[in-house]
Amino acid sequence: MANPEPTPNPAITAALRRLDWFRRSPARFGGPGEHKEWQHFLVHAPGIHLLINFNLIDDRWPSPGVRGEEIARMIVLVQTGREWIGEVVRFASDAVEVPVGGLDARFGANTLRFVAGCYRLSLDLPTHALRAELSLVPLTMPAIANNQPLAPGRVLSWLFVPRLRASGWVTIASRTIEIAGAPAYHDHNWGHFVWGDDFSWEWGSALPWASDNPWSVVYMRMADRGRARASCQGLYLWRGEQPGRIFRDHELEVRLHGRLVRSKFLQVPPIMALLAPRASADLPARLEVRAAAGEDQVELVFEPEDLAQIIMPHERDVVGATALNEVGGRVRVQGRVAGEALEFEGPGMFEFIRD
Amino acid sequence: MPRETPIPPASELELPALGPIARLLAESFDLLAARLPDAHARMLAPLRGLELELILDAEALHLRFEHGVELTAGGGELVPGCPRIECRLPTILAVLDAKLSLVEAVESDALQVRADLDRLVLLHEGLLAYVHGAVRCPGFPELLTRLRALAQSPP
Repeated sequence: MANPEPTPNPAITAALRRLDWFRRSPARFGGPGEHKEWQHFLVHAPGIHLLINFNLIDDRWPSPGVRGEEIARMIVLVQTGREWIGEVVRFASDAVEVPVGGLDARFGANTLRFVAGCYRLSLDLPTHALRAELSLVPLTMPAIANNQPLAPGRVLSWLFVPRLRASGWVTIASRTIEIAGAPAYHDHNWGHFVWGDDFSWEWGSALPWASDNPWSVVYMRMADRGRARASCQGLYLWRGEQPGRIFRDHELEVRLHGRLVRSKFLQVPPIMALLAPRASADLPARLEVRAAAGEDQVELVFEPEDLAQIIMPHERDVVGATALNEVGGRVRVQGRVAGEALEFEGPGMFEFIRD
Repeated sequence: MPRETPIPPASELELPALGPIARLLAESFDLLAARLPDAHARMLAPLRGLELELILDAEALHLRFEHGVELTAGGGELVPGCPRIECRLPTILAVLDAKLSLVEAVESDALQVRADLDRLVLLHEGLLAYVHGAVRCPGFPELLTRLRALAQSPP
């Protein structure tokens, strides 16, 4: 077998059980509202890239007589070649089971389970006849950041696992694609905010195609809505299971070049395409991050190839929309950390928020 | 100042000639007004004072926008000076499902619009405000389900 599923590291399993649990909205019990939480997975295999998101948000416009209700949605994007399919599917509350404090979720026929140190995802979405069974073994320790400033009076917490190895299969309209030892990424976010608040972010995962390359990279930058002022930024490098180097704030120089122009791309939910014309994507054709501190220096170059948009209505107002641009492309990373040269090429998936 | 005459909810108008699409549209205006009055007001802001002839499949409607929407059965004939939009239900659903953009629908004549530019811009603003309300308003997913059912089984 070319890519046997690795054995989960008990220390990583214990860390994830301790940290990566569903928080759920305190508004269900009369606490503060405007809560959002999602468990997010990326899988990159030759010829296919997947984005899978189990998403819970407080209902900003509940039906009369309903209070403290969370909306449960699956967001799934699949890129095969240059083609994307995907959807945002909302589930009735009686079709959703997400025990607080656990790492299991059921959204209709779709499930997330954390079993024996592996994330097991089972998808069954009829619109595109999409089914999948995936097992993701975490290869790195998670990073967690609680209550990070997002916008005035707003905070967001996040946990990420820079690298996992995914195996299983995906079926789309009766075509089955095997996933064998594919690089993958996971994050989990929760906090109180609304779409339309004064914030934006850029968030990217970069992984080597070569499974024996020990480096994994996550890039993030939080800014105001107009992207005139960054509040924090970071480049997180993992070497093997452990953090290898973290560059923060002024140790990073970020440059966006050109403009990614695509006349056609997927927008979900489809109706939001009416409210967010494709021309408004405003994305770079190339992103460069240069990080330097002491003797350590790293350069990351992301060259976007394709994109899909997830579009959220603003919740502050009855007009406006925020686009979460999911941009896939190639990443090259090179540099030197603690006297060791690092270099890799591989898949990158970056998310750019644009209002 | 002219006296404002309240317009009753569109779906309560005694208009037996209204077809199923018109009744659904009327219901959507009422729902928006009841559940998201801010969105309803945003929709009306650019449209106030405008009239519109709307031909949807075999149904001809006349809409008058004031501080509400007055929706009556139209004759289907061209009314001089009155903006007119004509399209079929599958086109509406194709636009809602992003299989066709609004621009593509117009350019391909699947959606036919006759209006002077000023009123066309106002109608477009009103339409977008209506959709902004629709994607936020509880109850609209059920209306959309009924619209799809109408497209599959026309009366």
